[in-house]
Amino acid sequence: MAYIIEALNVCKAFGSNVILDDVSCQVGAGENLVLFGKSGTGKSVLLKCIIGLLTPDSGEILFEGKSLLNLSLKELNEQRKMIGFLFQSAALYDSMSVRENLEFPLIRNFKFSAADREKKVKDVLEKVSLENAIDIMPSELSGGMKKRIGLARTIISEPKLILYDEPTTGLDPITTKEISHLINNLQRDLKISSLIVTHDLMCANIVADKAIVLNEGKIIFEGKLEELTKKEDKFLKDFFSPEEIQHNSGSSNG
Amino acid sequence: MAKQKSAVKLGIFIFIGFAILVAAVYLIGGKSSLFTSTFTIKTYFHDIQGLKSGTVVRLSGIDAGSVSDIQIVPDNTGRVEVTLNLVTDVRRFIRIDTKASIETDGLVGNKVIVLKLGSESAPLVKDFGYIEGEEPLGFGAIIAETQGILKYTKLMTKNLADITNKVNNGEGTLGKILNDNELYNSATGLTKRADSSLRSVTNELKGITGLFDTLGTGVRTVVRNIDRVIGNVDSIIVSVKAGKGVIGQMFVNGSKLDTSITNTIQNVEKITSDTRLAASRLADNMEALKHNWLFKSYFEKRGYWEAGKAEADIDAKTKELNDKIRLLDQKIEQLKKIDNKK
Amino acid sequence: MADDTELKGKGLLKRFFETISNLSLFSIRFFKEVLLPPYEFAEIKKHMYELGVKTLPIVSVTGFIIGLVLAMQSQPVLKRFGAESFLPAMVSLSVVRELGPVLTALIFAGRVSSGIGAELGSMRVTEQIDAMEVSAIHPYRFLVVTRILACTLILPILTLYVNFLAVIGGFIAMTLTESINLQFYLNSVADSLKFVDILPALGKTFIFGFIVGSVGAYKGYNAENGTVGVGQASTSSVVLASLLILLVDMVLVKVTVLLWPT
Ligand SMILES: Nc1ncnc2c1ncn2[C@@H]1O[C@H](COP(=O)(O)OP(=O)(O)OP(=O)(O)O)[C@@H](O)[C@H]1O
Ligand SMILES: [Mg+2]
Repeated sequence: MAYIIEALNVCKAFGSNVILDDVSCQVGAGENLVLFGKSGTGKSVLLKCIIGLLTPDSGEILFEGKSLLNLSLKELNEQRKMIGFLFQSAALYDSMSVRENLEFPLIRNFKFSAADREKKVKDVLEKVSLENAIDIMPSELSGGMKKRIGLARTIISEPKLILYDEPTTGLDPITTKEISHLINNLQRDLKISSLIVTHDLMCANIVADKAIVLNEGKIIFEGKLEELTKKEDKFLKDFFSPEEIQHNSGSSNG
Repeated sequence: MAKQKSAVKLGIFIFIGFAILVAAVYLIGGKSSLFTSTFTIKTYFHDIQGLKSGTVVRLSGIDAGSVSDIQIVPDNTGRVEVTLNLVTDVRRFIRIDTKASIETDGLVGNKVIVLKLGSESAPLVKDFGYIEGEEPLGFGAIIAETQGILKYTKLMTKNLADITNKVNNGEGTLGKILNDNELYNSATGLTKRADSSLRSVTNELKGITGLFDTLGTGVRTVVRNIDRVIGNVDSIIVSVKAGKGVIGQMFVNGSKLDTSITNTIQNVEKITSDTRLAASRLADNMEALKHNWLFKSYFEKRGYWEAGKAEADIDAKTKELNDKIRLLDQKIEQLKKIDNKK
Repeated sequence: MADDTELKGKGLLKRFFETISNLSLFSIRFFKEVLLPPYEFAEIKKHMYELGVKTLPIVSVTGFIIGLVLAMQSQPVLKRFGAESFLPAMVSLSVVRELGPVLTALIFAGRVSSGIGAELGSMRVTEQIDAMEVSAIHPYRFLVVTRILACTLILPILTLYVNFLAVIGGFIAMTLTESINLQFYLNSVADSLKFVDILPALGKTFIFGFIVGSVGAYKGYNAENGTVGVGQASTSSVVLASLLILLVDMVLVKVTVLLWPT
C-alpha cells in the first residue's frame, strides 16, 4: 500500500522536555487515520512537524515518498498546496471576513476566476452549514462556528491530504456527526486522505479506518479501532473506558 | 544552540559596525579637513577668548582650515600658542606677514580665526612656521571705552544742567543776557568796548608809526645797511662785539632810544592781548547767541533781534579786530628784532 | 545571589545582541522579499490608509502645537537680538529640518509600531501566521512587507503635513502678539527654505518609517508567550523603534551636514 504521508522515527524536544521520542506513523492513500493521545502528549506537535511548522530534531517526513525536510521554502510551499491543515484553534484571520478567509488561499495559490471562487466559497460553507456567515467577521462567530469555518478553509483548496487537529472538539453531537460524515465524504468523493487528531470517540468511530495512540512520546498502539477497545493495557483501558465505548458504539451501530 | 551563538556574534558585529559608523561620521564632521591634505602653521595670542580646538580659520571669508591645537606657552609671558591646520590650496597666500586675529562670527558669537593677507613681496610661511597674532579688542576694553564715553556724557549732561540752572537763576553772563531785558544794550556795549579797543589800538599804532618816524631814516638806513652786510656774518658779529661799526654807534647802552623801544614793545604787547581777548569774547558770545535756539526765540519774542544786521556788524568788528591783532603781532616781532639787535 | 544577577546580566546582554542581529536580518529580508511577487498592492494601500487615519489626529495636533509653542518660545529670544523678523524662518527651518521629521516619527512609532507589534503578535500567538504558512503563503511577504512598505511610504506624507501645520501654528502664535499677514509670513517661510533643508529631511522620514514598520513587525512576528507576549511585543517595539529613530537621526544629521553643507 502506498503511503501518502509517512513520519519516520521523528524525535522532537523543547529544550530538555522530550515530546516525541522516535515516533513513526503512516497514512495510506485514501485512508483516514485517527490519532489518539492524552492532552499534552504532543499530538499537535507531531502534526506541526509533518507540515513543517516545527522541524523535527531527527527523523524523516515523506509526502508521497518525497522528503519534506531540507526543502527550500518555495519547494515546501509547492508540497503544502497539496496538504490541508485544520488548526486546533481554527486560526481564522481576524482582520478578514469569512469570505476573505476562505478566498485567501484560493486567490494566491490557484488561478480561479472570481465566479468560480464565489461558487467554491458558497459550496464549502454549505458543507459546514454556515451559508449565512459569509460576510461576517470571525470575532462575531461562536467557537464551534469558527471551527467549522476553519474546516471550510482547509477543504476549499481540495488538498490530497488533510491534517485535522481536533476537528470536532467543542461541537454538539449533531454537528460532530455532520463534520465526521463530511470527512468521510471528502475521502469518498475526492480521494482525500486524512490524519485526524481527536479525543472524540463518536467522530473516531465514524471516520477511522485505522487508529494509533500516542503516549509519553511513543506510539503505543496501531491498528483497527475495535481492537483498541479490547486491549488489556492499563492506559488504553483508562482512555477508552468501557461504558463510553459501549454507549458510543451502540449509538453508531443503531 | 549553535544558531543562537552565531546570532549573538552577528549582533556584536553589527553593534560594533554601527558604533564605528557613528564615530566615523562624527569625526569627519568635526575635522572637516580629514580627507584634504593640510599644512600646519602657528600663531600666538595673549587672550584667545575661549577659542576652541576645531574652530574654523577663514581667509578672505573662505573656510581655509581649523584650529588643531591650543597650548599655553610654558614661560611667564602668558601667551597661548594656537596651531592652525590649513588646506594646502591656500598655502600660496600665507606669507610671513600674514596676520591672524580672533573675530566673532555671526550674531551668537562663534569665534573664528581670520587671516589677513600679507604683502606680496614677503616670503611664504614654512610648515610649522609662525605668523603674527593680532590681539583682539577684548570685551573688557570695549566696556572700558564705553564707560569712558558714558562718563564724558555724564559730565556734559551735568554741565548743561548747571548752565541751564544758572541761566534760569539769572546767574552768570549768559544768564544775565537771557533774563535781563538789557541784553540788547549789553550786546551793543560789547560792540562799543570792541570799538574802544580798536581806537586805542589805532592810537598805539599811530604811536608806533610815530616812533618809526622818529627813528627816521636812520632806522631805515640801519636796516638797509644790515641787509647789505648780512652776507658777511663774521664781520657783523665782530663789529657788534667790539661796540663799533654802524650798529654799535647807533645803539649805545642806556640811550633814550633804547628805553623808548622797550616801553613801546611792552605797550603794544599789552594792547594786543587786550584786543585779542575782546575779539575772542565777542566772537564766542555772539556765536553762542546766534546758534542757540533758546536765546534766539527769546530775542525774537521781544523784537530785539534784527538778526542779519547785528550779525553782520559783529562779524565785521571781529574781523577788523583780528586784522589789527595780526598787524600788532607783526610790529611786535619787528620791534623785538630791533631790540635784540641793540 | 551575585552569581544569579551576573547570569541574568549576561543573559540580557546576549539577548540584546541577539535582538540586534535578528532585527537586522529581519529588516534585510524585507529588501529581498519586497521585490518578489506576489505584490500585495491592495494590502499596502489598505495599510497606508489605516495608518494615515489612525495617526492623523494626533500628529495634526502635535504639529500645530509644535509650531505654536516654538514660535512663542523663540519670539522673546529673537526679540532680544532684535531679530524678530527671523521668526518665520526660524520656525520653518527648525520644523522642516528636524522637529517635524523626528517628532512625527516618534509619535508614529508610539502609535503604529505598537499597533503592528500587537496585531502581528496576536496573529502569531493565535497561530494565524502559522495558518498562512501552511497555506503556502509567505506570511512575511503578506504581513510584514506590506506593513513596512506602508509605514515607509506614509510617514513622509504625514511629516509634510505636520510641517505644514507647524508653520501655520507658528503663524498663529505670531498673530497673537503682532499684526502680521499670512501672505507675508508664508513668503518669508518660503524664502528661508531651500531644497537642502527639505529634501534630506524628507529622505530621513522614509528611513524612520522603515524603522517603525520593521521594528513593530519584528517584535510582533516573533512574539511568544501568548497574550503576555503580545503586550510585550507592543510596548517593547515602541521603545526600540523610538530609540532607533533617535540613534539613526543622530547619524543622519551629521551625514546631511557633511553631504549638503550650508
Ligand atoms: N512551541 C513550544 N515550545 C515549548 N513547548 C511546547 C511548544 N509546543 C508544545 N509544547 C509542549 O509540547 C507538549 C505537547 O503539546 P501539544 O500541543 O502537542 O499537546 P497535544 O497533544 O496537542 O494536547 P491537546 O490534546 O491538549 O491539544 C506540551 O507539553 C507543550 O508544553
Ligand atoms: Mg493539540
